This record gives sequence, C-alpha cells and structure tokens, in this order.
Amino acid sequence: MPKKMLPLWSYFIIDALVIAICCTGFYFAYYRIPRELNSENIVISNPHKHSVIEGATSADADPSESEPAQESSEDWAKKFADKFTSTVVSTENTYTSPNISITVEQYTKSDGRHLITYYVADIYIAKIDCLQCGFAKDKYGVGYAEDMLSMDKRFNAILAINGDYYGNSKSGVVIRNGIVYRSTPNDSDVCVLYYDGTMKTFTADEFDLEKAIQDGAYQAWSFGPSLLDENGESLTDFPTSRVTPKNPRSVIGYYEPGHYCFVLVDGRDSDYSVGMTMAELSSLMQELGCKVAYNLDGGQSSVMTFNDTYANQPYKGGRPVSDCILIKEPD
Amino acid sequence: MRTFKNILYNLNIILAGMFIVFQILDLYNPTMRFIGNSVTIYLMFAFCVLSIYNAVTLLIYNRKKENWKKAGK
Repeated sequence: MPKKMLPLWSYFIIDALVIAICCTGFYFAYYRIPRELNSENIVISNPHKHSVIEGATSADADPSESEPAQESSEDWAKKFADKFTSTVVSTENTYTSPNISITVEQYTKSDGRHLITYYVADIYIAKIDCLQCGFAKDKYGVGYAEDMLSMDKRFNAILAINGDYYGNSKSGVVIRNGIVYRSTPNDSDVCVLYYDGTMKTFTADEFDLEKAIQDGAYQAWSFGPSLLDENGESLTDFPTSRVTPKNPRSVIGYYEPGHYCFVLVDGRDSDYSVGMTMAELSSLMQELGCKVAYNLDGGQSSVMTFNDTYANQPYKGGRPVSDCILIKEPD
Repeated sequence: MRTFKNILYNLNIILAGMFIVFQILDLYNPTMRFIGNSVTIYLMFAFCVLSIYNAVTLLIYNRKKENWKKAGK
C-alpha cells in the first residue's frame, strides 16, 4: 500500500507556522527574557575632587606641579546663584533648591500642516551628582524594563527622562554614574558627560574609551545621533540614524557645565502632536541655544516625568524602558 | 534519504522566511537589530550552507535526469 502523502500546500502551511513560532521564540528568548549581563566594572573616579594627603602642609606643595584650577561645583552654585533658592520651592512646572533649578515648559508649533507639541526642561545643577542614571529593576542586563514613573519614584527623582535603552543591544558603550559597564562600541554616536560638567559627542570611530576614562567620563550613552555640529549648528544629514521620519523624540542638551536641558517631543497623534524628524529636532536644539544635543531612544519610549507625574503625553502611555536619566537631590 | 532531503528543503524555507520577517521588523524598528546580532549571524551561516547544499543536490539531480533521458530510461 503506497504511503499517503499530505498535499504539498500543507507543507507550506506547516513551514509558515514554524517560521512564526521560531521568530516569536527568538524574540522572547533574545530580547525579553531577563538576564544579567557581565559588567566590566571599571570605576572612573572624579579627577576634579581635591584629595587631602594626611600630614601634608602647604610647604610640601610644589606650585610647579599644581594643575590648572577646574571649574568646581562650588563655582556652579555661585555662577547660577540666581537660579537656586535657599529652600525647596516646588510649583506645577518648576523646582528650585540650593542644588537644583528646573523649569518645565510646554510648547506647541506647527510644521505647516500638523501640530507638534514638545516639552523643554531647563536644568541648572550645583553638583554633578545631581544628574544620575538609573537601571530598570536596578539590574544591568537584557530584558529588564521598568515604567518611567516607577523608576522616578524609586530613585526619588525630581525630573527624569528615558535613556538610550542599552538593554536592546549587546553592544554600545555604557558608562553610568562613573562605572564602565560595557566598552564594546557599536556604530552609534556616543555622548559623554564628564565629571567637570562638560558634554561631548563622538562618532563610533572617534570615541576612545581610554581617553574618556582619563578625562573623567561620568556618563556615556550609545544611541544618537548627535544633533549639532562642533559649532552648535544644526545638521541635515544623519548617517547613523535609523529612524528619521516624524516620531516622538527624547533629547539631552548641553549649554555649559551645570546647565543642561531635557527635550521631549510627543508624536504619532495627528490631533495633538505628530512628532519631529531628526532634521526638525536638530533645528529645535539649535534654536534653544544648545552647544551639544544628543538624541536618545524615542517612539513609545519617549517619556519625561516631573514631580512624580508624567510631564508629557507618551504615545500609548509609554513603555517600560531599560534605563533613565534623572535629576535628583545629591545623597 | 528522501525524507532527510525534504526536511532540509523545508528547513531552507523556514530560515528564509525567518530572515524575511527579521528584515521587515528591522525596517520598522532598526534599533532592535534582528539581523546582524550574535545569534542571527549563525542562522545566516546555516541558511547559506543549506542553500548551497540544496542547490548542489538539485543540480546533480537535474544532471542525472538528463543522463537518464539520453540513456532512454
């Protein structure tokens, strides 16, 4: 008796089902199942903190060996003294204290056909410790994600914005709060915030981890692209950008040591805000007067929280993310 | 042997289908990098080897078939 064979089309149906199962299984196994990654745990100490040598006197100090004075946090407190207040003053869209000054403003503009709504958080800090990064579930790894509001409350943040979603990839430089977790670069631009408060962006080829450590890197993110050129002028071409159409966007901007901004553009809602292209975002950051501006993870990840509430209207309520950048009172 | 070959042909289709899905997903969300990560590199290698194997066996079969026709079988 010849063996009865299934019709040929049934094999293709089975193949299609197996494709769906394999793709779904791969997605969950590779991106969703939480697993900790091995951190390189390279600690970068603040080169601008003065060290006290026991028993040393002023006579021991050799003037020829002294380094040029770096702008310290005490300088920021004096430089931006008009921004800070002696006690904590908090309103619906402002927060001031002896160490932090934040003003969150909402803006709406038109691109000719649609509305674009964005939020600018203008930030002054007296100490670099006021700007920190946090990991979802306090774990460094893949598959760990947490709602921004939950992270905001857990870290006692006054202001928070989503980070670069390092957990989506196994490459890309990760330096958080002075610790190098991962030094493997990918093809993204890298943004480095140094202990002295300065911020620089590098292409993947330009970035040198050893030099960054030597210069006192405090935070480093890998997403990008960088939105301004070395003169603070806007760009129109973004070779490393993979999502250039109009979308919700998150940006960190730098004016000078101690003065930064978070910019959050809402999008994917034609009645409220359609979002921005990368070129429009670049123009906005130039208009704001930033010297450096760096694009972070966008889309549904774009969330800003202020005073334990959402500052923006995240697309579909936002989504859990793997890390955040926050402003908080120093410990 | 025929069953084994049929499995390889279907595996080839499955791998090709997976890469088509990954390519479409990368178009919508390039940051996920479905193609080019540490696992799909190996899948791509397997797909290439399977494609070569299946193409070679098909060419050999076609050559044999021609020879059989010439021999009047």
